[in-house]
Amino acid sequence: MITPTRQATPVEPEAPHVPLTPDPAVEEIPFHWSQIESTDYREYVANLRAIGCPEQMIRDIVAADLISLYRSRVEAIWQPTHHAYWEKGRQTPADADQRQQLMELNSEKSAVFEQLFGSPLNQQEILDTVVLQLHGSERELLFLSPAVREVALHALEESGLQQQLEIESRGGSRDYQKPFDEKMEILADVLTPHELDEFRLRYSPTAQQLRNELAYFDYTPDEFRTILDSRKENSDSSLGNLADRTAATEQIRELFGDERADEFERVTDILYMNARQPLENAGLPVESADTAYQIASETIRQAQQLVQDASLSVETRQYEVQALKDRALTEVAAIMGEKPSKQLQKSLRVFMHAAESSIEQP
Amino acid sequence: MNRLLYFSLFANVVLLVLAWHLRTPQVEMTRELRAVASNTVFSPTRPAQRDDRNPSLPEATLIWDRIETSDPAELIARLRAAGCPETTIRDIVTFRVCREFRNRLLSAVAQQQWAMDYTKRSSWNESHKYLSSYGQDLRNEMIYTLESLLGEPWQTLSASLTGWPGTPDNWQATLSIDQRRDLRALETRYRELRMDFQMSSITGTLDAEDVARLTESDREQQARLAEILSPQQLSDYLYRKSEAAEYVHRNLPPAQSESEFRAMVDVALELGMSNVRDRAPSIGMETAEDPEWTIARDQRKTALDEQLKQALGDQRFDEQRREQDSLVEAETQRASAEAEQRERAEFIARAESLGVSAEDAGLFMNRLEELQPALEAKFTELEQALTGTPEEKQQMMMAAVRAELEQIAVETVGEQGIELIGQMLEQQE
Repeated sequence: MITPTRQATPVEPEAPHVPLTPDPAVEEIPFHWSQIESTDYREYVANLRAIGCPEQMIRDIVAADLISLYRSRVEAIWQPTHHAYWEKGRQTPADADQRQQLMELNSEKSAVFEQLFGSPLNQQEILDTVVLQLHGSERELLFLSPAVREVALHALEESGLQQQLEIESRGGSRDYQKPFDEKMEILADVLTPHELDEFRLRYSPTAQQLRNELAYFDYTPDEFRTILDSRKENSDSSLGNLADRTAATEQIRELFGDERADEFERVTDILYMNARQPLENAGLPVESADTAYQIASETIRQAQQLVQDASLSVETRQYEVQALKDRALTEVAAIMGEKPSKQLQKSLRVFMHAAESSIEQP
Repeated sequence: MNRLLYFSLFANVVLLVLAWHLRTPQVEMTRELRAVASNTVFSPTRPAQRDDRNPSLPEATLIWDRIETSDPAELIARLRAAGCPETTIRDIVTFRVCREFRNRLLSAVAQQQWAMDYTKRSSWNESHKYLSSYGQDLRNEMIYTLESLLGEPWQTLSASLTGWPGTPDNWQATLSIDQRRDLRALETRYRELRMDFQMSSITGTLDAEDVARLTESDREQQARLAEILSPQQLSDYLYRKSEAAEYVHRNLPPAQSESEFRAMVDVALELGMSNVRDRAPSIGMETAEDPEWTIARDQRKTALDEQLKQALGDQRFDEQRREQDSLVEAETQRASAEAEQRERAEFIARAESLGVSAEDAGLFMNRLEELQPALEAKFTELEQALTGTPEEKQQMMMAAVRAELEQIAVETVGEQGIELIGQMLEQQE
């Protein structure tokens, strides 16, 4: 049984009732805050309600009150090490025992709030409000109407999935598909099929990856959906490999034919993207991206052939690969301009370095 | 192929297992609060009811109507007139203003979400950029509003509601509200400008033109700072928040005193050192970096060292380097010992879940450590002898590692060892 008490905040001594402002239309307020204050949270809440204080404001007042009440207890367990601005101190995080104590304190605080208002204290919501941040499911569900969004968020919160996802993400978890699937299952109970499908098209990991791939491919929203559905049914993980477009191109060929597939293969290759993006960012014509891409991809193909040619000595192969690289770097810089070609040059260096490294020593 | 990869593979598997295992921590409330002043027993199932209120309060429920107003300044005045404590006024008004701004943000972002073509990457990029920029502007406006209304620095106002322990660093308390507003706007603007360069810096594609633009941007920022801050305030700012100060903290040995730190920052400021301009590219990106740029960066570092020697003296400079090396060594050892303890604990926990005793699990770990040099040599030899494509070689190595681990596991913990190794390797996959 929780017996909540609070520290009554010192109030100004009771003053005679006086008008608030010179505005004669404003009547004097027929109460003093000292009549509301109480060391008993139940009484405090009841008093606030009795004067018609809005419910959200009551919750905010009590939340702030609890945070203040527990602050000294939190600090007694752990607080950040203070370093002067010129000191290079290492921040000592709470140890396991301290973390446990802090979690227990948090639960205790939340339990007081829950007994007063019927739901636990949502500290994340307070943090999001105070620092004005949007993240996670709240941001993802913004495309829904406010009423539907609230129901969906409530369903996710009730399931405990939100907290679980936050703990996992703090632990550095990189599995995006599983949490997404779990979210879809929960949302399926509260969203219409159309709303759920839109959520999938916006936020599934496959959709997010596909949008990056298709940055320079000309497609309609329906075609996007078709490709996405096809990827969902196909478990081949190489579909998303930007360095090898074979599997993904074949998929497009089956869906849309040869011409679209050839276009797809070209514009979704990482080399093409690295040629085109800097030109677009700099506001330059993008036509030279094609030529530069052809040079880069042909150079890499020749290098890959060279390194396998056992009829040549190791030194010859290394020399020839280096020569190919230097020539290609010069050519793409000449075609695109020195600065816009940096990104493509970078990719080229990485590919050529990989080719050189694969030359087997005798 | 890196032989150590296979040993770290094992540790990583165990770490993944632990991350999964600790996903949902169980918390229990065990303590009770202090006794209530009232004699009434509080029933956890009964929410606060009207009868709990102070009987001296007037019956009318429209009292709040006489306080309520959409104007936060007027709200503060009315609450004060009602004798509301300042801290409660602060909490009420901070929450109210923050919620209002949050609703504005939600509304704006929702509008954008409805309007965008979400199948296109360009739409997402624009949306993200908008949210970041608009959100930051709104945040700055909110902070200015609250600081103006309540007369307290934002660090104090926000800490009171977030409950973050400790005393926030409030060096800006000496600045006026308008100065703080202008400083925030300036920092936001130049942070956004710098972000473009940061990505180039990470990927090793920063070039001379970028550096020139960055240098000019830094110069402009410093000129604008001098317009906002007094000479003393500017000095405080540069030693705390400049790119040069951040560079010193991140890259140079710790200073023994404030004056030493300031001397180091002075040198870094003189040379225009910054983490954006002077960072080495990320691991794996070294081959992508322009060789000329590598040389230029190294030359700047040499110049920095020379000037630091002049500022601190040769003896102190060398002392700092030795201290730094000791710190790095101590930190590496500490991290390594922690990691080893963690890996051991995780493995033992996993083994116990399969019915293997903690003692036997510990024996397995000890045996693995003993055999590590011999296993390394064995795998090195094996790797050199293997033929086939890289994928085939990797599969053969994995099979060999698995076989060895299983054999050791069976010798130390029994037949369950096979399942233990199998589960961990599956988890890794």
